[in-house]
Amino acid sequence: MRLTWCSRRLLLGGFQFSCRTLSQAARAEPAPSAGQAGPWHLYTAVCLQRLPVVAPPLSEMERRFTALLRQLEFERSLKSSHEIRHEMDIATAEALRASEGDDPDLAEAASLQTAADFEDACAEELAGFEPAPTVTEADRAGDQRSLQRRLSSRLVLVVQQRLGAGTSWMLPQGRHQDGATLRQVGRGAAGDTPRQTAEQTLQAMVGPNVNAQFLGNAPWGFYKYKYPKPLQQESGAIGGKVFFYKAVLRGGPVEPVADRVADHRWLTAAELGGQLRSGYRRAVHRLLIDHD
Amino acid sequence: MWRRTALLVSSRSAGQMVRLSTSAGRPRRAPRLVKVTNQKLEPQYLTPSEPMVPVYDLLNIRLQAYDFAVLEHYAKWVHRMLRAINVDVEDCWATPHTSARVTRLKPNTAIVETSYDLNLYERNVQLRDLPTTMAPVVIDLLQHSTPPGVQACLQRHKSEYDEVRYVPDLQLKELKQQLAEVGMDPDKRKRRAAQEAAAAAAAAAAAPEKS
Repeated sequence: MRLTWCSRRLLLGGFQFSCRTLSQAARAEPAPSAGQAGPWHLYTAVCLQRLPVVAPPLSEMERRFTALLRQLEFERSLKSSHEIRHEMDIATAEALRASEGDDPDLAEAASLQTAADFEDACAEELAGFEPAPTVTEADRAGDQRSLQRRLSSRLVLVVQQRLGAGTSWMLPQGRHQDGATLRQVGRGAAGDTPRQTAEQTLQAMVGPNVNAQFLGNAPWGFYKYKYPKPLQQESGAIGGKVFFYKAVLRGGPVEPVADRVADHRWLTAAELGGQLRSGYRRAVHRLLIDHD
Repeated sequence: MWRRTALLVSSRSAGQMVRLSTSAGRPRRAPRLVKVTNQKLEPQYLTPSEPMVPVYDLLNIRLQAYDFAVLEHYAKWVHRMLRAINVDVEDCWATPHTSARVTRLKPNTAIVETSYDLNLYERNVQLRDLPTTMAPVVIDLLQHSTPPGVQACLQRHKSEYDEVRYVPDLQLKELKQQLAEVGMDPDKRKRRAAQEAAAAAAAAAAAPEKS
């Protein structure tokens, strides 16, 4: 519903309340834009993430502040039971030396494991424990196809997807078949919701054994692009609208299917910039919370 | 102040003739009396309505960790973060911890080499009426923010989670067990009902005897 210049002025002058409701109604029905002259193909893309395995290292300021807090806590704290036990052991040893081994109770008390012995045993056990390395082989080799890389960051799966004759680096994407009319709220011809299409797309791209947990039924992002002219004439659509779904990798092997995907990489949010086109990259970055 | 409301019934479906209902053919119903108090004075927006998006009734975020300091700070952070994004935080409580002792024996012997006493602490944050559209956002924020060593879990609330918080009365349990051994039902109400039934049966037996 369009309000012409004259009618809007009349309304503003006379009936304030009805103007507000009318303009709300106008906003509710979107005005037809130039881009709606022809149909758009709908796609769903999946942003599959591997969660970080270890915490990221502390920055310089964080390290210094942590050290300061530890020192303050130590200075303000009372003695722990271990320290009190250590002092009592020293006193017992002194008393034993003073009595020259006559007192049997003192001798018995001194023969038990002292706090110092306990501490030494703990230190020895800690030295024997070797934690897994946070910088792995894949990090050193720079193998971007490995999931063992960059354990303190999130990794996003990016595939070199075959599109027609050529390939393109993007998040795994699949066509969402439109329903009979565009009015049907998102359901495809087979009765699939976009979220179901996204799940099927992921399984088609990286194999059926992948265990991914999808976050929500609603898309997290959107990207619109126009087909090149020959493809527009061939397919009858102006371009594609991509709806991004977020998923978290819970396990299962990721085996890219060769006839859909030429190559795949697991990249951090910062590395995505180098791999994706600028407009697409901006749409994808809106999905991700960037810590780096 | 009472007012009569007239019954208005009209049914129409696409393509059919409009049938206006009249009370000619069927018996007239008594008009419904509706108590109207301040109907003209109450504003319309106070009428409770359904939320536009379906909501989850009660959800619990359960945080478990062996490191107490980290867990407490994270629980506080989660509570503040959820309030900042206008999620209705209903309740926040600490469940009693569970203890475990891990003993390492020297190989092929029963001699204890080391033993550890581990306490698994737990904190819960309860959300009320979380819109289903906000739930994935909350899950994503939890996944991004969980510190190392803390396990976060989002689950629907069950009554067992409340009962776990109560300290069991061991003395009472022992007394009830003694009653059960003697043969009496530990439940007081059932005992009283049984006594009354026995008394009624005795009275019924005595009455036919008299007559």
